This record gives sequence, structure tokens and C-alpha cells, in this order.
Amino acid sequence: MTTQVIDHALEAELAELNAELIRLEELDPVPLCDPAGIDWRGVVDTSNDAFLAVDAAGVLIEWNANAESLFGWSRSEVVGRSLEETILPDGVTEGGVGGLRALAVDPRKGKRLEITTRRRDGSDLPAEVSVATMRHGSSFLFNVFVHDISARRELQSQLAHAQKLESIGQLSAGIAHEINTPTQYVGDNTRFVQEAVGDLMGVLAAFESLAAAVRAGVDTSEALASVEQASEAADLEYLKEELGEAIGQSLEGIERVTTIVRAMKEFSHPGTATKTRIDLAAAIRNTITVATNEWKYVAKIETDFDASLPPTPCLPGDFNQVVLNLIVNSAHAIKQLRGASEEKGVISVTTRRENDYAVLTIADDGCGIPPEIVGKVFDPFFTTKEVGVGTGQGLAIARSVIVDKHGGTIHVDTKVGQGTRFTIRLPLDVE
Amino acid sequence: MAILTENRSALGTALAASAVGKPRRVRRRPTVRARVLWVDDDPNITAALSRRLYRKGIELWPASDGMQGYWFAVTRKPDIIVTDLRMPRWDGRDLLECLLANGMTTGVPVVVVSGYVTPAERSRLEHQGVAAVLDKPVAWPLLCKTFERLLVE
Repeated sequence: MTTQVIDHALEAELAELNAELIRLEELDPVPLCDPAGIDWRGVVDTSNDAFLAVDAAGVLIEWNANAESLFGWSRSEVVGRSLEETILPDGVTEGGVGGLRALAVDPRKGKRLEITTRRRDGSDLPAEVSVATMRHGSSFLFNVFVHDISARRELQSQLAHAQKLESIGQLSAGIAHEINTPTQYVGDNTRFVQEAVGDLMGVLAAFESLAAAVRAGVDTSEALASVEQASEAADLEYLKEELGEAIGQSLEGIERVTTIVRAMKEFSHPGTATKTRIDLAAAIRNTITVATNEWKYVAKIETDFDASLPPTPCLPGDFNQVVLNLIVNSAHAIKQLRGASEEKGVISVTTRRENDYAVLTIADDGCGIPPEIVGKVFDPFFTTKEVGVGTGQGLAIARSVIVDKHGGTIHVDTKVGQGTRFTIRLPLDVE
Repeated sequence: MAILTENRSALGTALAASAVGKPRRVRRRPTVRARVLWVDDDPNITAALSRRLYRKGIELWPASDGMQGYWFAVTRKPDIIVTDLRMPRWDGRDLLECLLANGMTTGVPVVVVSGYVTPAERSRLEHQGVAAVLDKPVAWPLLCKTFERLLVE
């Protein structure tokens, strides 16, 4: 396959540049570049990323050509204005000097962070910013390179969506099973009750005849014999024993269907763009119910929820997805270690409050994660499952939801052959 | 038979639990025409079906997982075996593998009644020698028709 050249002017320019390079290579020696003569302003202006510099008050003092095209403001429009008035609107910065706090990089995170910035037209632009602090006279200067990650974000969101659809597809099979089982016995019991009531009506009619005979003062022996015969035919002793149980089990079945349908409705709650304060324990219980069929054959779930944990700011749909992914992973880990014929494993789920954080742990006594791969488990597309089983997005999404969307943390502790514990911390945002 | 040896202790457990499988003692019951071993981990399923089948003269022996089901299958010789697919310990697939491979049980028709069977799984099961694959909840007339057919055969 050959490359088609469409732009002849560009082709000519490229040929000229190539010829120039060849001519330079032929010179002996190649002339050294004098660093003193480099146009540093030009370097910054030709950078592939947007560049901006801010003084210690958060006021913009530099703004390159790429920043102009990325954000839509020209250099002359923004220089002298604060970050807050331009690319970092109030909601993002939550105070701080002119919006600078949003750029304060935790050194442990490697001097880069992902934030949502604002364009001139008011639209959001997800960006990775790299900030360097430079002493400038008696003050400081912050040099910021801004890399547009909207394409990456879009891909991540599509993957997250695909993973959600995948897990809902997987869940629907389990939910079908969970609903069809009670439906089966509720139907059978109701039919049984219907037939039994028909028989009982026959017995009742015999009793009515007996009562009529008693009232009329006539001989009751024939009526009494019919009562005994009807009771015998209806197998009254058996019906007395079974009717109550049949009705009790049917009510239990209806309750089971109601619970799982309610849980599914809560679970598939459409994702909201803004956080709402939710009861984590209720949401987790719900997810455990929805996923019943994924764990019940291999594990018991033990929960220990801290009743004093206040409602936690959360994106409910995303949070439920994370809990589901972790519970399904735990069930798989237990199945891998124990197979199908051994005793069940244990998945333990706890919540507690630690200062200004809600802490959630999901632990299992499954196969554990080998040390050589534990560092990769949060990477997108990393999976140890067979091709076709899972997209390798489960934990990557968990990390992205907890860290990027909630400003929390997620940690894993694991030992091969003994189990794995995931610990999630979500900020409570206490005033 | 290798499986029997390997799982002797587990089968012992199943034997100890065999009281679960005893038919209900009733004062008067219709003549028993057939005995069906029904393997399902939900005891409500087997309880409800035993009430209805009892009226049809069919005695139901419940088993709660594949291992217990296999034990009853080889020791009690039911006329028909019905099994769910997803269960703890041995699931339905493990049970089917043993039933269809063991000379003591190969003649007994096996019916799968499950809450979720994909079309691919259905055809695989039928190919494997399962007499019928029914979706849970199974309609009563269909269940009766299937049993009548299998009992005649």
C-alpha cells in the first residue's frame, strides 16, 4: 500500500526540508547549534501542548499559541487575568489563590494531574497538566503544560459503558435464574392450593349437610358417614399439614422476587452527573442482592456496616458498578482457589468512618494476586481471565471512578493462596 | 466408579443427609406410579412440586446438590431424574457427566429444568443425551406430558 499525497504544496515543502537535512549531513563536521541563539519563546510557542505561566497570585502572565487554539482565548485577552476567571472556574478550584490550588500537585502523584478545565465557550476540557514551580526574583512562577485528554476520556467513558453493559448482561442471566426459581414454586403452590380448596369445598358441603340434619333433628348417621368419606377423599390430614406451608413458601417466593426487582431498579438507577449523599450500606446491600447469583454458589457474604457512617457524597451508578466489579472478582478468586466441590469461601464487606473519610473494604479468602502482577491490576485491559471472559476494565474503572471522579483512594492487599482485600476511601466532604 | 472412590467421604455426608430425601408420610396417598429424583438447591422448589406430583401419583425425592443427587440416583434407582444446572458443590453439569457415564444410571432419563439456559447450552445438553431441557418456570402441562412420555418409553 502506498501513501497518497494530497497536498502538493506540503509535499514540496517536505522535499525541500529533506534536501536541506541531506545537505547538512554531508557537511563535515555538522555545525554545532549555539544554545545561546535559540529562540526560547519560539520553543514554547511551537510546543505540542498548550503552555501557560502563572504568578504567585494566580494571574496569567504567559499563554502560547496552542493555548490560544485549545481554549479559544487570545494571549492578549487572558494575560493579566486569573486562572479562576478563565480556565479554572469556581466550582473546580473551591477557593485558593486565583485558582492555583487546583494546580497544587501532590509530589507522590508524579507532578502530573488530570483536571477538568473550561474553554472560552464555556465547554469543559479534560486535561492533563504538568506543573513546574520556578523561583522568579522574590516570588514564584508556575509553568504549566496542558495536554488535551478529551479523546482519552471519551475512550475511557466508552469502555466504562461497555463494561457496564457487559456486567448487566452477565447479571441478567443470574437475575433470570433468581426470579424464575420463586416463580416456579409460587405457581405450583398456588395451583396446589386451588385444587386443595376445591377438595375442601366438598368436605364443607358434607359438613353443611350434617349441620342441616342436626338442625332438622333427623338421623345424622348418614350425613356423618358422608363427612368422613369426604374428609378421607380429600386427604384432610395431608391438606392440613401442607396448605399452611404451601402458602408460607409462596409468600416467601413473592418476597424474593420483590426484593431482587427492587434491588435491580436501585442498581440500574441512571447515573447522575453530580454527587448526591447516599447511604453506602444500603447501596452495597443492594448490589450484593443484584449479584446474588454470581457469588451464592461459591461464597457466603458477611457484612459489617458502621451505623454511624454519615451519608457519603457519591455518584451512585458509578459507585454501584465498582462494588459489583469487586464482588464478582472476589467470587471468581474464591472459585479459582476452591473449585466447585469444596466448602464455600467468605467475602467480607465492611464500612467504617476514619476521620473525614468513609472507608469500604471488600475482602475474600480466594486465590490472591501474584506479586509480579499486583502492580498492573488497575491498568486498563489487564486481565488474567480467559479471552472472552471480561474486558479487563473492571479494576481500571474502579480506580477511575474512585480516584478521578470521587477524589478518593483504592488500595489492594493480597497474598497468594490466602486472599485479597480492596480498601476504598471516599472523602466525606465534611464542612 | 473412580469418582465414587474419590468422594467416598463426601458421599458419606450425603448419605447422612438422606433423611431429607424421604417421602412424606401421609395418612392416605394415591397409588405411586413413578418415582422422580429432583435435584435443586432450593428446597421450596422440590416441596411445591412434590405437593402437585403427589396428586398425580408421582413420588418426588428431593436432593439439594449434584453430589447428593448422584448418591440417590445410584442407590435408589428413580424412574426419572430432574436436575437444575446451577447449584453449590457439584452443579448440574457435573451430575450429568456422571449420570450419563455411569452404567447404573445410563438407562434413567434425565431432564434439565433450569432458570437460564442459553440456546448453545440447550443444544449441547440435548446432544449429550439429556431427554428434555425445560425452562424454569416450567408449565405444569408440559412437565406432565414430558413425564408421561418418558415413563412410557
